[in-house]
Parts: sequence; structure tokens; C-alpha cells
Amino acid sequence: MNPLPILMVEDNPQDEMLTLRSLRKVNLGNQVEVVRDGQQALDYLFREGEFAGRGGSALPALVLLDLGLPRVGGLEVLERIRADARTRLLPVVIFTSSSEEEDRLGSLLLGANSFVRKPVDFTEFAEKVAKLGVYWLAVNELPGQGR
Amino acid sequence: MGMIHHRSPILWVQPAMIHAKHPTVARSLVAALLPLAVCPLQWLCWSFISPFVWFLFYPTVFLSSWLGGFGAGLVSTFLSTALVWWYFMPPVHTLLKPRPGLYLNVVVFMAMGLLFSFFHRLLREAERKVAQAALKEQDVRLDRMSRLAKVGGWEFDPVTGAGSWTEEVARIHDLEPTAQPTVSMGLSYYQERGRPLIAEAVRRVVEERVPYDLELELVSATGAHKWVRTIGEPVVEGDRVVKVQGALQDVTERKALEQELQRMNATLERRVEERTGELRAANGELESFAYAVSHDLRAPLRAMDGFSKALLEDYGETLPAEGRSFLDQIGLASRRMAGLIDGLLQLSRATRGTLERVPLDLSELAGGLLEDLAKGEPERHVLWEVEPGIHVQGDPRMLEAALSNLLGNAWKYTARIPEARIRMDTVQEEGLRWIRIRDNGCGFDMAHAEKLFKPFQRLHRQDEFPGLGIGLATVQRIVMRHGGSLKASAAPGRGASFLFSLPLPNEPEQP
Repeated sequence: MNPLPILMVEDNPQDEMLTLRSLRKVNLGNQVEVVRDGQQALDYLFREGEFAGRGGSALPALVLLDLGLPRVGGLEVLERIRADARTRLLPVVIFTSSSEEEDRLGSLLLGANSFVRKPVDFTEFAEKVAKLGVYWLAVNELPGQGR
Repeated sequence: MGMIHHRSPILWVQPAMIHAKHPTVARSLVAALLPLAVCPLQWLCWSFISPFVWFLFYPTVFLSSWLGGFGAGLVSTFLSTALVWWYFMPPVHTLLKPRPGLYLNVVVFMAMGLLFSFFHRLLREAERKVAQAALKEQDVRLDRMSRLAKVGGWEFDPVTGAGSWTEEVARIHDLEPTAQPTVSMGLSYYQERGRPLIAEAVRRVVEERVPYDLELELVSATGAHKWVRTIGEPVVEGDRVVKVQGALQDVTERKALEQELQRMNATLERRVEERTGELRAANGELESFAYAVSHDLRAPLRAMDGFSKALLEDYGETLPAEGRSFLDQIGLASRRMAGLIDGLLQLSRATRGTLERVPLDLSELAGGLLEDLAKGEPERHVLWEVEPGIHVQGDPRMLEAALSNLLGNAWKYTARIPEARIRMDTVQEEGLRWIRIRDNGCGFDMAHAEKLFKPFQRLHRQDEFPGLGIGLATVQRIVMRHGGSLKASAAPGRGASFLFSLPLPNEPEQP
């Protein structure tokens, strides 16, 4: 059985490439689906709009969510994920450049599972992404995953 | 008597006042018939008075003319003569008197009576003239005051609706001073808005005897808009209101000033609101700028560092050594720029938000910070000493940042000293309590001290002591936000001292 994919919500193509590269290095085997804004993320999750007929698993194993997104912002995406019964328990990790206390607090209040700041130093960055992937996809257990 | 018809410009002539000087018919009659009462009195006392037949009658005639006027005096004189002739002149009880000397007596008495009567008439007229002159003078004075104060009086009869007012009231209405009003005419000058108010006030003063005091707008006979204050009070006789009396003042100027003041206040308020709005917008922009700095400016740096490293990792072997070092430089530069952005954010964040004032123990705070520094570099041996019990009032987050910067500097710049010492204590200078952080580190030349508190300005090269040049700028902003001041003293190779003062919250903040 294929492992569940990771949904990455990221509007910066360079960050996307760097994240993908870092995830690839840990050999998790999860596919990474990339969407570029908040609306696309919601459409993907709820199978609406351009993703209305999307196949594959119902939900990803993890959402990596940036905050500064075009159209629908990251915090609003998070709010809508938590408000819907289908996605209420979906692990969401905020992965952003922001170091604002407001964003940190806001994300956690809205029910983010983690807040991870993207460091500028790439060595640090790659390390964080690797740890993140391993923790959420291999270490952490979610309801309904009993084997 | 012209006096009765004279209408004072200020006061309605009170006829009773003038009449008081004029004997009434009853009083004249009593005065004229006074001798009839005196006659029996003299008869009773005749044994003591005799032979002075006119004894009580001279004063009687005097009194009669004084009380009853000229006519009463004359009647009294004739009556007295007749009574004395009949009852007291010997031989009594006969009209014929044998002694001719008595006739002279009678003539003298009658002449005196006439004189008294005439004299009293003159006296009374003189008195009236004096009163009239005084009244006139008072009128002039009151008129002058009335014009100056723009105040006049009025009254009306609630039954007939007839009224009167003083000249100033007429002038306020831009009418001829002699024009006399009725109630409905008086009310017709008020503006639509005020008319129901005044009508209701008049109804209440007449029916319920409630006095009123109103400020109303009126349009005068010439079409001028004026503000007047009018007060009205009932005059009660028996159980009904016979008259309503009041005063009216032109308050147009005061009202205009009031309105001007109101308008100016409104303008001022609006301007303050506008400025506050602008300030809020500017602050908002600054916030979003800081956000953009923190979020958007970092992404390209990450890409630079990330891709140069990825290049190095994936294709490093195919590059010559120099090419690899170039890639290292790209990474170095991007990381340094990220550091500068962090510094900029730290500076803007240092004093953002509201300033809290809570009691803080700086000694405790400093101890904790120094322990953290020691844990971060366990290989270093620094001797530090903190004076216990340094209490201040301030913002915990900001003051921790300030102390952290000052102690961090002391820690950093003593790195090359074998016996490093850091001391925090308090000193009294310039009448203030200063909190001093002193080290025996490398110090600096005071000649460059003006650069000390400016952001991104440094007194040491990167290869001596790396840094961004943001720490002291942050400290200064925090101290200034608290209304305090910050100063430094140092010498190269002999350590540095930084002193800051924080005013107590009940003291006025220093500018």
C-alpha cells in the first residue's frame, strides 16, 4: 500500500525546490503534492474546484502550510481545516519565514500541530525539514493507523 | 400733572408712588374737619388755657394744611375761626363781640392759616420736583445700563393680552422705542423652533405659576437674527396671576462666541481624529513593512544559501577549489544579510506595542541572564557580581531585552581578558539613580562614542568582535521609551561602563 502523500502549500518555487530536495534526502517514500495558494489547498483537501475529480487517498498524511499565501492566507486555510469535521484531526505544520510572535501564537490558537520557522541557513533548513518529515510521517501515530 | 403721563424708558411709572404725595379725598376731609375734634378738647382744658383762645387752633390749622393740602387748610382756618368766635371769644355764645381788639386777633389767625396752607402747597410742589428729578436721573442711569447690558423689562396681562416693555426691549426687536406690544405680537418674533417653547413657558407661568428662563432665537422687525435670553415670573394677586413680568436680554454676541467655540472644538476634534488616523496608518505600514522584512526578504536569501549549498553538495567535485570558495562566499553573504534583517526586526520590535509598568527586580533578572551566558560558553571564566535588590518599574519584556544586550556586550568584549569581570550596581549621579553595568573588557575610544547608539554602527571590526551593531541602539530605544536616559564611559583596553536611569512612574517623565 502506498503511504499517504504530503500536501505542501507553498507559493515560493525556490522554497518548494529546497524543501522537496531536503525531503528526498530522507527517503520517506511519501509522495509530495504541491499546491501554490490557500484556495488550491482547500480545493485539494475538500475535492472541490480543479480538484473535484481528484483520485487517490481522501486526505494527506501531513499538510506543510506556509502563512503568506496568495488568495486565501495560511491562517484562514488552517481555520477552515479545523472547522470541518473531515479534516479536524489532520496534522498541519506551519512552515514559514515569519518569526512574528503574532503568527506563532495565532497558528497554535487556531490548532496548528507545530510551528516551524524556515531558517535562512540551508544546512539548518535541510535538517529541520528532515526531522519534520521523519517525526510526522514515521514517529507520530494518528487515529485510524493501528496496524 | 405731566408726571403721571410720563413713561419712564426703564420703569413703568408707578402711579401709587406719585399719588402718595397727593392727599386723598378722605384724608382732605378729615384734615379739613380737624377743628371739630380740637374744639371739645380745648373746651375741656379751657381752665388751663384761658385766655389764649387760639391755643390749640394754630397747630390744628398747620396740621390740616400739611395733611390735607391747600383747600383743607383754608376750610380748617374758616372752621376754626367760627368755632373760636362762638365758643371761646368773650362774650361767648354770641356773634356780636363788643371789643373791637378781637377783630384784629381774627384777621391775624386767618392770615396765618392762609400762609400755612400756601406754604405747604409750595413745599409739596418742591418735594415733587426733587423726586421727579431723582427719578429722571435714575431713569437715565438705568437706560444707560440697559443699553450696555442689552437688557430690558416687559410685562403683560394674561387676561387681555396687552403688554408693555421698556425701550431697550423695543430696540432689541429693532422697533421704535415707543412701540408697545401685545403678547401675540411679542411671540411672533420668535423663530419657528422657539415658538412652541415660549408658548409652553407662558402657558405654565400663567396656569401653574412656574417662572421660566429661556434662550431663544428671534428675527427682529428688520429681519436680523438674534439670540435672546428671557425670564418671566408670575405676579399673583389673590389667587390669580394678574400679570407676568420679566426681562429680556440680547445674548447674540455670547451665543456667537459659544457657537464659534463649539465649531473650533469640533474642528480640533476632527483634526485630532485625522492625525490619529494618519498615525495609525503610518504605524500599520511600519508593521506590514516589518512583516514583509521578516517574511519576504528572507526567502531569496534562503534560496541563495540553499542553492549554493545544493550546488556544492551535488556538483562540488566537478568544481575547482576556487569555485567552491566562491559558493561559500555566497552562503556567507546571504547568512550575514539574514542576520542584519533579524537585527532590524529586533530593533523595531524592541519598542513596539504598549509599555507596561510593573515592579521588577533587575538584580534577579541580570543574575539569570548571566547564568545563561555562562551556560552558553562553559569554557570561559568570568567573575560577575550583581548588587542585590535593584528594583524598578518597567516593561518586563523590554527591560529584559535591554539588560540582555548590555550584559551580552560585557560578556562578549571581555572574551580576550584572562580575568574577566562584570559588575552591575547602582550609583547616584545628577540627582538620579543610575543602574551601571561595568566590565574590564577591551573598552573603546570615547572619540567615537556618538556612533555608539546608532543602528548598524560599530566600534569594532568583524574579525575582532563579530556583531550587527543593533544591541545598543535597541537598549537606547527601550530606555527612552521608559522616559529614562542612557550613557556610556570607556577607554581602550580599560573596560566600559553603561549607565541607564529609569524614572519612577509617579515622577514626571523626562522629555
